[in-house]
Amino acid sequence: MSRFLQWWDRRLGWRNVIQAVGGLRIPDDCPWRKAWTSALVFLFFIQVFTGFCLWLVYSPNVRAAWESIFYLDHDIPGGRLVHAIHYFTSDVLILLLVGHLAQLIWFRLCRPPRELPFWLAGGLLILTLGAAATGHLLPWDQHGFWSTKIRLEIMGGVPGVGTVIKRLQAGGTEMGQYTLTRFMALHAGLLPAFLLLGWVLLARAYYQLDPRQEPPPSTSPGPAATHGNRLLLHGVAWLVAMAVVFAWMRCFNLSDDAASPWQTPMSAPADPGQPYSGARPEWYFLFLFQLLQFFKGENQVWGSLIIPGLVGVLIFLMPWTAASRIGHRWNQAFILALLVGWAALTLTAVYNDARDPHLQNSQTLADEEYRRAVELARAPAGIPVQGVRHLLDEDPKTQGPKLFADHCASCHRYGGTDARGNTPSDPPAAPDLKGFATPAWLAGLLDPDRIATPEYFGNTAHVDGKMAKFVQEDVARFDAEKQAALRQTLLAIALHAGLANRTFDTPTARETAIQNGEHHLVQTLGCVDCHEFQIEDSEASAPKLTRYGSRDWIIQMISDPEHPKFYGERNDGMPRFGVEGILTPKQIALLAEWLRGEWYRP
Amino acid sequence: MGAGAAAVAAPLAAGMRMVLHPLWEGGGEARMIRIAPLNALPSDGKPRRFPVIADRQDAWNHYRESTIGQVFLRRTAPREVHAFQVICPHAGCHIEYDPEKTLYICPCHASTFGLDGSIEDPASPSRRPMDSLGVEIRNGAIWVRFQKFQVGVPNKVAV
Repeated sequence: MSRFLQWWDRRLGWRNVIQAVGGLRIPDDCPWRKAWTSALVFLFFIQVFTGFCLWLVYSPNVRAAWESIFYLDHDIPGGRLVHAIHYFTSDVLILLLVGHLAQLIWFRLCRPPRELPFWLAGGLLILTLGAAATGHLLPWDQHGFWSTKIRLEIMGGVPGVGTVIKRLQAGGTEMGQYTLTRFMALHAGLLPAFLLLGWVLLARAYYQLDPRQEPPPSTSPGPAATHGNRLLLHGVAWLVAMAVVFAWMRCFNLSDDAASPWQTPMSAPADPGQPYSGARPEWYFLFLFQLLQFFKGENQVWGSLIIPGLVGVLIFLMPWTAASRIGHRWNQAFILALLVGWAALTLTAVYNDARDPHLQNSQTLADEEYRRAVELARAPAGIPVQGVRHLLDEDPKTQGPKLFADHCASCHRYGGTDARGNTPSDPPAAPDLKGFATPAWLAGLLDPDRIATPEYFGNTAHVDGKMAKFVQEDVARFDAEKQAALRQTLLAIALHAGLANRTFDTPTARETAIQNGEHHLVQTLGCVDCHEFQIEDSEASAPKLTRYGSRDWIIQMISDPEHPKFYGERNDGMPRFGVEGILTPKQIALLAEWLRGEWYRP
Repeated sequence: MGAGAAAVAAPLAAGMRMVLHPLWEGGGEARMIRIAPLNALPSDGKPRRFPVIADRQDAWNHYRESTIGQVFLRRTAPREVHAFQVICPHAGCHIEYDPEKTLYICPCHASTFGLDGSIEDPASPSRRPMDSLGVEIRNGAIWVRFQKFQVGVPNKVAV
C-alpha cells in the first residue's frame, strides 16, 4: 500500500498538494468550533455531489424544467431523496456559515492575520446565498419564478447600475428561457467554481495559521491532536451535520405520502402571464422583505441598499475594530443585535403572512394548482412536449374558476363565492351556478320558496317573469302526484345532460325514467307552453329545454344569451360572451366543461 | 505578452459580447393591442382586469397569442376608458383591486392606489402612481398602448 502511494507521490507530489491546502487541519483549540468548520466543508461537498446527480436529470428549458424535476421526484429511483437533500442542505449550510462567522466575531478570531479567513468565510456566505437564490429558479415553478422576478425588479430599481444587473441576470428585458439558462450556468458552473476556490483558499489560510507552524501560544498549550482522534472529530462532525439536514427535512416535511416522506417544496409550473400573489422570498431573505416594508417611497433605497450595504461594510471592518477591547465588545454587541434583528424581522414577516387572509387564500389556490399539475402529469396520457403548463391551460378544473371569477362573478356566484375563495361584496345579480342543471339545483329553481331568493332569480328581472309566477302560484299548489311528476321531469333533464349521479339497475330502467320525465314535461306540467322541447317551436319565449344543461347548451347560452332559443330580448343584462368576442370559443368551452364537472379525475 | 493578448482577444471579445448581449437588447417599445370589446367593460366605473394577449418571442421560442401581461380597464364615460398596468411600480408584484375599499392594493408590500391610480395614502411604499397606458376605442373595441416600466424608480421609464 505504502509503495503504491509512494509511486504516485514521486510522480505527482500529491503529499505537497494535500499539505498545501491544509489537509483536514483546522487551527482552533476548541473542538466544537473545529467540528463546525469541518461540517461546513463536508456539506459543501454533499451539495456538489447531489447537485451533480440532479444535473443528470435536469433540463434547463422553460417547457421541460418543471417536468424534468417532476420526473426526478416521481420516477427516478432515489431522485426524490437526492433532491430533498440538495434543497434542505442549502438551508443548513447557510445557517452553519452564519454561525461560523458569528463565532469568529464573538470569540475574537477575526483579528489579523485571521482577517483573510474571516473575509473568505464572508465571501463564501455571499456565494452560497447566490447559489441558493439561483437554485430556487431552476424548477421554473410559480414560486421560484415570481420571487425571482420581484428580486430582479428590486435590483433593477437601484440607481445607476440597477438596469445592467437586472438585464445581465434575466438575459434580456423580460424573464424567460435565457434567465433559466443563465441561472443554471451560474448555479452549476460559475458559483460552485468560486465556492471551491473559496474553500481551498480558506483551508490554505487555516493551514498557514496552524499553531504547529508557529511557536505554541503560551495561553493554551493543549495536547496536540493525534491523527486518529482528528479523524474521529471530523467523522462525528459530518454525521451530526447529516443528522441536522435530515431533522431539518423532517421539520419542513410537506409530504402526505408516508411511503416517500422526503419531499421538496414545489409549486405549479411557472406562468409568466398569470399573477401569483403568494410570492415570498426564501426564509433567509424574508428579513430583507420585511425591512423593505419600513421604507416608503424614495426611502426604499435605504432598505434595499444602504442599510444592508452599511452592515456589510461594518462586518468587513471587524478585524480592525476587534483590535481594541472596546472595539471587540462593540463587535459582539453588533453581531448579537444583527442576529436578533434578523430573527425578529423574519418572525414578523412569518407572523404577518400567517394572519393575512388574502395571502393565505392565494397560497391555498397555488397549492391546489400544484396538486392538479401533479394529477395531470401522472395521468395515463402523460406529459406532452409542450409541458404541464399546457395541460393546466387546457384543464377545465384549473381554468374554469379563473374565468368564472374574472367574467361571471360580478353577477353570478358559485356556491356563494367567486369560485376562487372570495365573496364579492356586491349582492349577486344572477343565479348561483354551482351544480347547474343537476337535480338538486333544478329542484331549488322549481321550489316556490327559493326561486325568488338571490340564489336563483331574486335579484334579476326574471323574478317578476312567467317562470317565477308559475313556480310560486302553480307549483306551490301541486298535489303529491304532480310533485312526483315534477321530480321525474327534473331527473330526466339532468339524466339527459349527464348531470344526475343516479344509478340504474338496467339501461332499460334508465330509458324508462327519461321517457316518464319527458312525458310529464310535455303533457302534465305544461313546460312546453313557453320552452321549446325537442320539436322546433318558433313561438317559444323561454330558453330551450332540449338538451338543457348539456355542454353544447351551456356553450350556446354563454355565447349568445340573446339568441331566440335562449332568453331572446328578455335577456337580463348577460353579455353575449361569444358573439361579442369577450371570451374565445375555447374559454367558453372550458367554462361549460367546468360547470358540468367534466375534467380528468385520477 | 503582446502575442498572448492577441491570442485571447478574439475568443474573449466574442465571449464577452455574448455574455453582455442583454445590455444592448431592444425593448420598451409600446405595442397597440386589442384588449376587449367596449361592452365587456361595465359602465358603473368599476375596474376590471383583462389579460393582454399577443405574440411573444422568448429566445428561440415563438409563442402565438400568449398572455404577455394584464391591464386594469375602467370606464370613466360611456366611450372613455382608462387603462393601468397591473405591475406594481414599487417592486413588480401584481396589483389587485379591492372592491370593498375601492382601492388598488398590492399584496406584496401593501402599496395602495386610488381609482385614478394615484397614491392616496402617504404610507404607501410606491414611489410613483400606477402606470397609466394610452387607450384608443376602435370599432367598439378597446385598444391599449401596452408597455412595461422599470419599477422602484420615481419616473416612468420604459423597459
